[in-house]
Amino acid sequence: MSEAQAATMDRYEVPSVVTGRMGMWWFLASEIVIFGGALVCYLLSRWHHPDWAESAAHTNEVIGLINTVVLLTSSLTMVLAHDAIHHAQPKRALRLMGVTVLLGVCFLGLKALEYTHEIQEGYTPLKNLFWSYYYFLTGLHALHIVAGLVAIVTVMRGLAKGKNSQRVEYVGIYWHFVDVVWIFLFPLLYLAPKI
Amino acid sequence: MSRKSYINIYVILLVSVLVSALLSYFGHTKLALVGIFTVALIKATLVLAFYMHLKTEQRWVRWMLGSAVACLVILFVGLIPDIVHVYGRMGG
Repeated sequence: MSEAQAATMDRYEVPSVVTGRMGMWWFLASEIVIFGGALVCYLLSRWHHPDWAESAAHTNEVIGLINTVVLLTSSLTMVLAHDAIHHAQPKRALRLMGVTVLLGVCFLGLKALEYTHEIQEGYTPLKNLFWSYYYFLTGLHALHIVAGLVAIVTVMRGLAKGKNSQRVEYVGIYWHFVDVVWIFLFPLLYLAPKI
Repeated sequence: MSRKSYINIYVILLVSVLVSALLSYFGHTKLALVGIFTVALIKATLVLAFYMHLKTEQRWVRWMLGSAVACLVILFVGLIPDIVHVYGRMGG
């Protein structure tokens, strides 16, 4: 391969990988503003309403804790899938992504269980402003989990055909971001309000 | 990074979750609150730096994400007078 051909390869092939990752980072920067804006509103309102501690005492800390472990474990399996792609082991990556999907579904199942219990107890989104924030923040997060699961399954389908293995990294970055959001939601909605 | 490093970070994250839960269960002070959010910040930093590979990512990515966080800090500080003080005086 001549030097000119190599330069052309560099110009058109290497940036194509970087572009995908760049797109994901731009997207996540906008997500930071969406989630962050909602969290800032919650924090300011919470500051103004110490009486919310009474409502917050009814959130299910145990399910929140289990869901935190589930999401952290799914982040581990996702990063190991990326590592497997890095070591040219697509089958291993597929298995690990499958486990990630199962853990994501498990998270949603536990969330549904939690919502059911709370609604049965009368803590609906219209109960008071705390519960409105609670359902909005956790619901928005759950929607992102659903989107992440759809994205992972789509990438898995491509990977099974031997295509677009670089997308494992992109979808992994997104999944970890959703995990980071939960890392802040868990203490804000489950732990701190009780203090 | 090696697989072992990823697993080691996972163990640290799990221990951090346990510490947060214990702080919430046993500590009912403002100090416990600070502890809980400090642990949350450490967990988020570990995931961002090692699982999302921000540690080895190009500098512009860190600047871009930092700018988004800076916007949030400005929003938070800017809204304090309106929401906490003025709204508070109105008894809302």
